[in-house]
Amino acid sequence: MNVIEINSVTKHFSQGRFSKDKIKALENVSFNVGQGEIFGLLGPNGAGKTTLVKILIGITFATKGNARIFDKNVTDTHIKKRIGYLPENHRYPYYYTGEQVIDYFGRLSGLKKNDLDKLTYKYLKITGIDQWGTTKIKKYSKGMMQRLGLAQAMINNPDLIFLDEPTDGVDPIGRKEIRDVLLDLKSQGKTIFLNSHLLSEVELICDRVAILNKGNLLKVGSVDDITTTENIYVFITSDLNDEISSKILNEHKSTLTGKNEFRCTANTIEELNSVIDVLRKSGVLIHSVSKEKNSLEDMFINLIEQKN
Amino acid sequence: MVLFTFIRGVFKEALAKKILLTIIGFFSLLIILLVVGITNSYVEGMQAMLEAGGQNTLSQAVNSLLSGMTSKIPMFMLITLMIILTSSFIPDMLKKGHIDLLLSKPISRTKIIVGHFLAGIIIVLLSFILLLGIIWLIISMKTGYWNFEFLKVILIFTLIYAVLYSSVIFFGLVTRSTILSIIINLFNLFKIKIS
Repeated sequence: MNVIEINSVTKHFSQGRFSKDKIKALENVSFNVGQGEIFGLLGPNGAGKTTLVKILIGITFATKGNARIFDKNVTDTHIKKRIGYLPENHRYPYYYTGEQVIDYFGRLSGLKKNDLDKLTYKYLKITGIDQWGTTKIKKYSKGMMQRLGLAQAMINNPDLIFLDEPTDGVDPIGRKEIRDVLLDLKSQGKTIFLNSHLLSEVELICDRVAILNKGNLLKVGSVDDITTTENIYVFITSDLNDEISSKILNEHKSTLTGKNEFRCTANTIEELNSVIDVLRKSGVLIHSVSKEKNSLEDMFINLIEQKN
Repeated sequence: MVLFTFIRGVFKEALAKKILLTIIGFFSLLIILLVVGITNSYVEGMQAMLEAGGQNTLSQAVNSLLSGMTSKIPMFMLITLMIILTSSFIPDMLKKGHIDLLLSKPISRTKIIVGHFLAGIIIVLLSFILLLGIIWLIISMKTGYWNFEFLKVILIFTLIYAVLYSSVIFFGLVTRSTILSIIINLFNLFKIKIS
């Protein structure tokens, strides 16, 4: 079941209040997000990620196309009861304590005072700032503010959570803790829509990702699909002698990466098997053959550079 | 419930930014000046002066005093002060990062604006009750004449403020600038004063 459906969403902004020139923030973006997924939205600065999130939450409106959440149009205010949102550069009233921030936004989410008393402590504890609940937030560090923002986004026990750079400014241990919280939410069947620059993190927790560049959708798929190369295989074998090495290098599009490891390009399964045949005839033991995987970061950089 | 949350939030903001403290402090000063200024001999002197001018009742003397205090210039100054003090609520609410959070909640945009509008009006109504109510009380106690009609001024001033505050909100939404919003509205208020 799809929790989010985005159909040909286009967003054009005016360059100025009276300008007729338009900035194309999004162009015909379409994809779906299923229930219980952690979905990552990636892209360089100005790619349109935050604009897309704002359209999905109903903060701004699409110029063309439509988006649906829980099978209802995103302009329906009622669906927001099931949504949590942590914006980038969120700003809370500086004179509030952590507890008061949660209480204020909890009330705006429609929660009653009795529920809030229990939930405020629960979510501050989950995000690891329960000891700072009665401290004014102007004394909070950037990392603590992110944790508070996460608690605020979870306070109404939402089925879908949008997180815009949730680990921005958080130390590595804190990032791990936030990742654990997100994985725990996923295990409860919640859907998480993550907008992050930290690709290594996205790779660790996201089931699927979409890549945006200059308002255009470049790729959507599972992290495995996106990072796995189509036709490059990594062989790990017993030690290769010079004769075998040179034969593989000359006759097959290969590069040695170690004494017992090489990368080989095989466009068909027959080509791959012919390499295996050469090795087996020469008495080389094959330990493993696998498709080469790029890191999400490498793939992302290559993709963006190609398009630019 | 949501409107109450906004009103409570704006009151906290007014407390934190010392807006309420400024209002109470300034009004207390005015009230102290009034208490010191309106002595029994002043009232007697004013009555004698009115009698000499053909107005020979205490009620007329008190009414003249009260209407003088709430004439166009004091009204202009009082409402200007309240507009300046409360005009930051809307632009502050519209700041990036805060408005996004509000709009992500299951609340209509109308409620967000109405909540902040009502909060500003309640703050000003309470302030006017404090100032004008105490002025009325002091004068009534000093002279022994209780002119309940005067209390309508509180509502009239609040109404004038509400009209101007709605304009502050409008220009605050359009320009997202506190200063510009204040300037436009002081200009509007000035037009009301001279008309």
